[in-house]
Amino acid sequence: MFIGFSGGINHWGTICGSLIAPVALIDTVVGDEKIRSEMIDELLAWYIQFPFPEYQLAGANLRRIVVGSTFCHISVSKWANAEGVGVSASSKEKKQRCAGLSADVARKTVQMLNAYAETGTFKAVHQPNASVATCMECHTNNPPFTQGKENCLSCHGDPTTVPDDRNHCDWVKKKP
Amino acid sequence: MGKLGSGQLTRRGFLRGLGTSAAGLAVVGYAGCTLQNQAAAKPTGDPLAKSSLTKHPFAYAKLDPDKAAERAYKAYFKGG
Repeated sequence: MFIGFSGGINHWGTICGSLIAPVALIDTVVGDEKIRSEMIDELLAWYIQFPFPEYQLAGANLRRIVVGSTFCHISVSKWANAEGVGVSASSKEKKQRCAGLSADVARKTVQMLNAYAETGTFKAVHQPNASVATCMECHTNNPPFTQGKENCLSCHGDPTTVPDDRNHCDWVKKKP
Repeated sequence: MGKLGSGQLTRRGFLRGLGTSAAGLAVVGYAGCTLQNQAAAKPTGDPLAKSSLTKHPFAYAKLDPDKAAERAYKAYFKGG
Protein backbone atom coordinates (compact mmCIF):
# COMPACT_ATOMS: atom_id res chain seq x y z
CA MET A 1 0.00 0.00 0.00
CA PHE A 2 3.01 2.31 0.20
CA ILE A 3 4.36 1.65 -3.27
CA GLY A 4 3.14 5.04 -4.43
CA PHE A 5 5.52 6.74 -2.02
CA SER A 6 8.64 5.33 -3.64
CA GLY A 7 11.05 7.90 -5.02
CA GLY A 8 9.47 10.69 -3.01
CA ILE A 9 5.90 9.88 -4.10
CA ASN A 10 5.93 8.14 -7.44
CA HIS A 11 9.41 9.50 -8.18
CA TRP A 12 8.46 13.16 -7.83
CA GLY A 13 11.33 13.57 -5.40
CA THR A 14 9.31 15.03 -2.54
CA ILE A 15 9.36 13.47 0.94
CA CYS A 16 11.65 10.43 1.15
CA GLY A 17 9.43 7.38 0.82
CA SER A 18 11.30 5.55 3.55
CA LEU A 19 9.70 7.85 6.11
CA ILE A 20 6.08 7.36 5.19
CA ALA A 21 5.45 3.92 6.62
CA PRO A 22 7.34 4.59 9.86
CA VAL A 23 5.32 7.75 10.43
CA ALA A 24 2.14 5.81 9.71
CA LEU A 25 3.23 3.14 12.17
CA ILE A 26 4.02 5.66 14.89
CA ASP A 27 0.69 7.34 14.27
CA THR A 28 -1.02 3.99 14.55
CA VAL A 29 0.48 2.58 17.73
CA VAL A 30 1.44 5.57 19.89
CA GLY A 31 -1.56 6.88 21.75
CA ASP A 32 -0.04 9.88 23.46
CA GLU A 33 -0.38 12.80 21.06
CA LYS A 34 2.59 14.73 22.45
CA ILE A 35 4.92 11.75 22.37
CA ARG A 36 3.69 10.78 18.93
CA SER A 37 4.59 14.22 17.63
CA GLU A 38 7.97 14.20 19.37
CA MET A 39 8.79 10.76 18.01
CA ILE A 40 8.01 11.79 14.45
CA ASP A 41 10.10 14.93 14.89
CA GLU A 42 12.93 12.82 16.23
CA LEU A 43 12.77 10.49 13.24
CA LEU A 44 12.93 13.31 10.70
CA ALA A 45 15.54 15.32 12.60
CA TRP A 46 17.66 12.19 12.91
CA TYR A 47 17.20 11.52 9.19
CA ILE A 48 18.68 14.83 8.12
CA GLN A 49 21.75 14.27 10.32
CA PHE A 50 22.44 10.58 9.83
CA PRO A 51 25.14 9.42 7.40
CA PHE A 52 23.22 6.92 5.28
CA PRO A 53 23.52 4.09 4.56
CA GLU A 54 24.77 2.33 7.66
CA TYR A 55 23.08 -0.91 6.63
CA GLN A 56 25.08 -2.36 3.78
CA LEU A 57 25.65 -5.82 2.48
CA ALA A 58 29.14 -7.16 2.98
CA GLY A 59 31.50 -5.74 0.42
CA ALA A 60 29.20 -2.98 -0.78
CA ASN A 61 31.42 -0.23 0.64
CA LEU A 62 28.94 2.50 -0.18
CA ARG A 63 29.95 5.97 0.85
CA ARG A 64 27.94 7.33 3.78
CA ILE A 65 26.66 10.88 3.36
CA VAL A 66 24.69 13.24 5.61
CA VAL A 67 22.15 14.75 3.23
CA GLY A 68 20.59 17.40 5.47
CA SER A 69 17.09 17.08 4.09
CA THR A 70 14.13 14.74 4.14
CA PHE A 71 13.40 15.41 0.48
CA CYS A 72 14.10 12.48 -1.82
CA HIS A 73 15.41 14.80 -4.53
CA ILE A 74 18.01 16.32 -2.23
CA SER A 75 18.82 13.09 -0.44
CA VAL A 76 19.49 11.19 -3.66
CA SER A 77 21.19 14.08 -5.45
CA LYS A 78 23.61 14.80 -2.65
CA TRP A 79 24.57 11.18 -2.33
CA ALA A 80 24.76 10.38 -6.03
CA ASN A 81 26.86 13.45 -6.79
CA ALA A 82 29.05 13.46 -3.73
CA GLU A 83 32.77 13.35 -4.22
CA GLY A 84 33.83 9.78 -4.48
CA VAL A 85 30.37 8.51 -5.39
CA GLY A 86 29.35 9.94 -8.77
CA VAL A 87 26.76 7.41 -9.84
CA SER A 88 23.44 7.82 -11.61
CA ALA A 89 20.16 7.69 -9.76
CA SER A 90 19.28 4.56 -11.69
CA SER A 91 22.48 2.75 -10.82
CA LYS A 92 22.77 -0.42 -8.83
CA GLU A 93 24.75 1.45 -6.20
CA LYS A 94 22.01 4.03 -5.74
CA LYS A 95 19.42 1.32 -5.26
CA GLN A 96 21.63 -0.34 -2.69
CA ARG A 97 22.04 2.98 -0.97
CA CYS A 98 18.32 3.71 -0.78
CA ALA A 99 17.59 0.15 0.33
CA GLY A 100 20.17 0.59 3.07
CA LEU A 101 18.70 3.94 4.00
CA SER A 102 15.27 2.31 4.25
CA ALA A 103 16.77 -0.33 6.51
CA ASP A 104 18.32 2.35 8.71
CA VAL A 105 15.01 4.22 8.99
CA ALA A 106 13.13 1.02 9.82
CA ARG A 107 15.65 0.12 12.50
CA LYS A 108 15.55 3.59 14.03
CA THR A 109 11.77 3.48 14.14
CA VAL A 110 11.65 0.09 15.79
CA GLN A 111 14.30 1.15 18.30
CA MET A 112 12.22 4.18 19.29
CA LEU A 113 9.02 2.20 19.60
CA ASN A 114 10.69 -0.60 21.55
CA ALA A 115 12.22 1.87 23.97
CA TYR A 116 8.90 3.58 24.46
CA ALA A 117 7.17 0.24 24.99
CA GLU A 118 9.72 -0.65 27.66
CA THR A 119 9.90 2.62 29.55
CA GLY A 120 6.70 4.49 28.81
CA THR A 121 8.78 7.57 28.20
CA PHE A 122 10.37 9.16 25.19
CA LYS A 123 12.99 11.86 24.86
CA ALA A 124 14.10 13.22 21.50
CA VAL A 125 17.83 13.56 21.01
CA HIS A 126 17.85 15.21 17.60
CA GLN A 127 16.56 18.63 16.68
CA PRO A 128 15.61 20.25 13.38
CA ASN A 129 18.30 22.24 11.63
CA ALA A 130 19.10 25.44 13.53
CA SER A 131 17.98 27.49 10.53
CA VAL A 132 14.37 26.56 11.26
CA ALA A 133 14.24 28.48 14.51
CA THR A 134 16.03 31.44 12.98
CA CYS A 135 13.94 31.65 9.82
CA MET A 136 10.57 30.79 11.29
CA GLU A 137 10.95 33.36 14.01
CA CYS A 138 10.01 35.92 11.37
CA HIS A 139 8.46 34.03 8.50
CA THR A 140 5.72 32.41 10.53
CA ASN A 141 3.96 35.74 10.96
CA ASN A 142 5.72 38.03 8.51
CA PRO A 143 5.91 37.94 4.72
CA PRO A 144 6.93 35.96 2.90
CA PHE A 145 4.86 33.60 5.08
CA THR A 146 5.71 29.96 5.31
CA GLN A 147 5.67 26.94 7.58
CA GLY A 148 7.78 23.87 8.16
CA LYS A 149 10.60 22.23 10.07
CA GLU A 150 12.65 21.12 7.08
CA ASN A 151 16.20 22.43 6.79
CA CYS A 152 15.62 25.90 5.29
CA LEU A 153 19.15 26.13 3.95
CA SER A 154 18.94 23.00 1.83
CA CYS A 155 16.70 24.81 -0.68
CA HIS A 156 17.10 28.50 0.07
CA GLY A 157 20.79 28.68 0.83
CA ASP A 158 22.36 30.83 3.49
CA PRO A 159 20.80 34.34 3.42
CA THR A 160 23.98 35.82 4.79
CA THR A 161 25.66 34.98 1.50
CA VAL A 162 23.02 36.53 -0.79
CA PRO A 163 24.43 39.91 -1.92
CA ASP A 164 21.15 41.18 -3.36
CA ASP A 165 19.33 40.87 -0.07
CA ARG A 166 21.20 43.39 2.02
CA ASN A 167 18.51 44.06 4.59
CA HIS A 168 17.85 40.41 5.17
CA CYS A 169 21.52 39.70 5.22
CA ASP A 170 22.25 42.46 7.72
CA TRP A 171 19.42 41.40 9.96
CA VAL A 172 20.59 37.84 10.09
CA LYS A 173 24.16 38.89 10.77
CA LYS A 174 23.05 41.08 13.67
CA LYS A 175 21.24 38.24 15.36
CA PRO A 176 22.96 37.31 18.61
CA MET B 1 4.92 -0.47 29.52
CA GLY B 2 4.55 2.60 27.41
CA LYS B 3 1.28 3.96 26.32
CA LEU B 4 1.22 1.91 23.19
CA GLY B 5 -1.81 0.43 21.60
CA SER B 6 -3.82 -2.41 23.05
CA GLY B 7 -5.73 -3.43 19.94
CA GLN B 8 -6.04 -6.91 18.56
CA LEU B 9 -3.57 -6.97 15.72
CA THR B 10 -1.36 -9.97 16.32
CA ARG B 11 2.39 -10.19 16.13
CA ARG B 12 2.02 -12.86 13.47
CA GLY B 13 -0.20 -10.58 11.46
CA PHE B 14 2.28 -7.80 11.82
CA LEU B 15 5.21 -9.88 10.70
CA ARG B 16 3.24 -11.35 7.82
CA GLY B 17 2.62 -7.85 6.60
CA LEU B 18 6.27 -6.94 6.74
CA GLY B 19 7.06 -9.07 3.76
CA THR B 20 4.56 -7.26 1.56
CA SER B 21 6.20 -3.89 1.87
CA ALA B 22 7.18 -2.22 -1.35
CA ALA B 23 8.47 1.03 0.06
CA GLY B 24 11.55 -0.64 1.40
CA LEU B 25 10.46 -0.63 4.99
CA ALA B 26 9.79 -3.48 7.29
CA VAL B 27 7.43 -1.35 9.26
CA VAL B 28 5.24 -0.81 6.23
CA GLY B 29 3.64 -4.12 6.94
CA TYR B 30 2.08 -3.03 10.16
CA ALA B 31 -0.26 -0.45 8.77
CA GLY B 32 -0.64 -2.51 5.65
CA CYS B 33 -2.00 -5.58 7.35
CA THR B 34 -4.09 -3.50 9.68
CA LEU B 35 -5.92 -1.88 6.85
CA GLN B 36 -6.18 -5.15 5.00
CA ASN B 37 -7.82 -6.67 8.02
CA GLN B 38 -10.25 -3.80 8.22
CA ALA B 39 -11.14 -4.17 4.60
CA ALA B 40 -11.71 -7.88 5.05
CA ALA B 41 -14.02 -7.42 8.02
CA LYS B 42 -17.61 -8.43 7.43
CA PRO B 43 -19.90 -5.44 6.99
CA THR B 44 -22.42 -4.77 9.72
CA GLY B 45 -24.78 -1.95 10.45
CA ASP B 46 -21.97 -0.07 12.12
CA PRO B 47 -18.82 -1.96 11.23
CA LEU B 48 -16.41 0.55 12.67
CA ALA B 49 -18.07 0.62 16.07
CA LYS B 50 -17.82 -3.15 16.48
CA SER B 51 -14.33 -3.66 15.17
CA SER B 52 -11.58 -3.81 17.74
CA LEU B 53 -9.18 -2.87 14.96
CA THR B 54 -10.61 0.61 14.93
CA LYS B 55 -9.49 1.31 18.47
CA HIS B 56 -6.61 3.70 18.47
CA PRO B 57 -3.84 3.16 19.30
CA PHE B 58 -3.36 -0.28 17.83
CA ALA B 59 -1.30 -2.99 19.46
CA TYR B 60 2.45 -2.93 19.22
CA ALA B 61 4.64 -5.92 19.98
CA LYS B 62 8.34 -5.24 20.31
CA LEU B 63 10.28 -6.10 17.19
CA ASP B 64 13.87 -6.99 16.46
CA PRO B 65 15.42 -3.81 15.00
CA ASP B 66 18.00 -5.73 13.00
CA LYS B 67 15.42 -8.04 11.48
CA ALA B 68 13.27 -5.04 10.63
CA ALA B 69 16.26 -3.50 8.88
CA GLU B 70 16.96 -6.67 6.96
CA ARG B 71 13.34 -6.95 5.83
CA ALA B 72 13.31 -3.31 4.83
CA TYR B 73 16.44 -3.71 2.76
CA LYS B 74 15.02 -6.65 0.86
CA ALA B 75 11.59 -5.09 0.48
CA TYR B 76 13.05 -2.02 -1.19
CA PHE B 77 13.87 -4.03 -4.28
CA LYS B 78 10.25 -5.11 -4.63
CA GLY B 79 9.00 -1.64 -5.32
CA GLY B 80 11.21 1.04 -3.82
